[in-house]
Amino acid sequence: MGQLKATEKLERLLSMIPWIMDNDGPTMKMVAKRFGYPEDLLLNDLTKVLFMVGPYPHTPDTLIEVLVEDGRVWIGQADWLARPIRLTPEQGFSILRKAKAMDLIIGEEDGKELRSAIVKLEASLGQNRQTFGVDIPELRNNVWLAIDDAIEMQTQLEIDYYSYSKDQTSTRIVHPIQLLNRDHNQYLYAYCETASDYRLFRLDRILVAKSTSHGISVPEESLETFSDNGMWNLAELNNLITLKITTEDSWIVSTYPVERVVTTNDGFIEVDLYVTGIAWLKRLLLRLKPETQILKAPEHIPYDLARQAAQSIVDRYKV
Amino acid sequence: MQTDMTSRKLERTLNLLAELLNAESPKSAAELKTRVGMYPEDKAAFRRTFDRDKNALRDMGVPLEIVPVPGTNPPVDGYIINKSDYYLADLNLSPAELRALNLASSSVEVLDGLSETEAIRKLGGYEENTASNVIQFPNSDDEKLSKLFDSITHRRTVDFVYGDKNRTLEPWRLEFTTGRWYLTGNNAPEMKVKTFRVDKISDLIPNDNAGEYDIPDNPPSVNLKPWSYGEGEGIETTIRIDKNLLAWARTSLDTEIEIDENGSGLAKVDVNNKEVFFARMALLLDHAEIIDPLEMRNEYLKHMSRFTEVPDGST
Repeated sequence: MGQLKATEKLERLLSMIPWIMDNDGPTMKMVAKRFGYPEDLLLNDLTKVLFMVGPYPHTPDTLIEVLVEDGRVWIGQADWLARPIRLTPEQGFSILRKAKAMDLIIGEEDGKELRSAIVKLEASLGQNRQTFGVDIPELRNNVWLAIDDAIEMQTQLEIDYYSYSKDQTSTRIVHPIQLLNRDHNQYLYAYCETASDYRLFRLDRILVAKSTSHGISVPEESLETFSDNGMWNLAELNNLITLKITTEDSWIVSTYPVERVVTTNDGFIEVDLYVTGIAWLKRLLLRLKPETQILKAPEHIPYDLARQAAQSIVDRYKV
Repeated sequence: MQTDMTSRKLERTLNLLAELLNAESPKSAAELKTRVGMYPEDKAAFRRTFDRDKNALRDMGVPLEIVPVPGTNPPVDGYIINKSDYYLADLNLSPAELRALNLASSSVEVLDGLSETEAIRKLGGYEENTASNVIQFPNSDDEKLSKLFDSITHRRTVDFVYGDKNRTLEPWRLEFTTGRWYLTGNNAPEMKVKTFRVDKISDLIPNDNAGEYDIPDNPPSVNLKPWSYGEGEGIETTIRIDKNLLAWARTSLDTEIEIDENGSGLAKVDVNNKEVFFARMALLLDHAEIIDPLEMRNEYLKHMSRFTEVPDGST
């Protein structure tokens, strides 16, 4: 016999009783499945526990009536339990959040029922579309649709991907595994044929995603599921630099993972941080004060990187 | 044995709920003990068991209130459930609507978030499992979000600390966008509309009083374009963006982009704060160019020249 705690049974029964009363003798199997209640336990609790419940003086005319016959169940004399308990704020918030997220990806036609359910939920929760909103901009384009489709159909994708840290666009064949959210961004986790390894691709940096007719075929020795372990292991990049920044730019200390922060005698701040790529560092430097200095950097990072980056921008305007 | 005890506790809690939901006036603990008839005789044991049952009901969201029993002197605590607060309003969800909520429940995953399974059961339970997760939400402080959600529901002001400052806000709108939750409302005492990042809110305390204010018909959505912050009309600025950065620019600039015949795009943004705008332009490196107006273009070049003309020793 499956096990549930008394509080878990109570919560399920109080939701289930109104539904049984509304549905003229549903099967025990259906009730068990719908409300996550092991069937053998359900039979026991309906016929041996619920049967004994009712207000004082617990005479037959006050006790709940339960009839189980031919695998079907009827409940009567339980008007006081004919409606479930209202949703708690946590429950209301969590279901509405999911419903509104789903609304972003479901089509106009397929989403009719969801949208009417949302309106009913909002009304019962004292909310409306103006007071509670969910938007995930990355889901509003064809790239997401193509990826979702490829994951479902288990087919390879051809993607044009812009690497933010390298400032390069490349075309790759990838074997999509799953869509996931890390660090507040949406990613595609996939096996990349160019890298011969698994990679995370940020959705808003995938310029084009095209379905192919080829099925996913990841080399068996590379099969793995996504794991956060080592995902952001910046130290492996071996790109530690030391910057001397003004106090006005101290925001970078709380924005990026930094290894060391020291205030210097001349009123500046020295910061050690890992860079994920030269283009990433260019963008950072161009948002800091021009007085910023690179004090220490690996060989491949020029000390006048900000000047070079700014010059490229200025040059574009000369054409 | 374990099953017997579980069944007994279940029966007793259900009978307690039966008493409370059928009572017209508050009932004292002693009266409930007699009427339920399943509690231990020993006073201390009764108290412990009664407290556990009350907590079990409250944890499920049963609005169990304590008020004095009428006519008692000295006053005796009485227990009552306000029926209008207890029952879920009849949502009249059709089977198709419930299936749609089921689908949302199984398709959207919230990392380390609150579960909505109890909510789904209250609404009619689970149909066939129809989908695996297709969208993930980032981790968030769901307890804080639920409090803010409830405060909006009941129009309760909230106090919190934000950036070392104490704030009092009439919350109007809770919104998830670009990976984060934001709260918009009327900020006291100057009663100015402000938006706050929820993850930066701490020491949140909702006020006890409900119905303290009205929410306007169209509370503003969060403005994630800091270059547009400021008084007066912004300067309409046109930017040409190379093809390879279009997807990212679309979310980064949060604007529609018109694609031209060579695949690059034209975006229009309203600029009030040039410094912030230039910092955002810098993210596009040499893949974008201000086209119009000329003054904005020249000012950006002047801004960049601060980097190209730095004295030796700087970057």
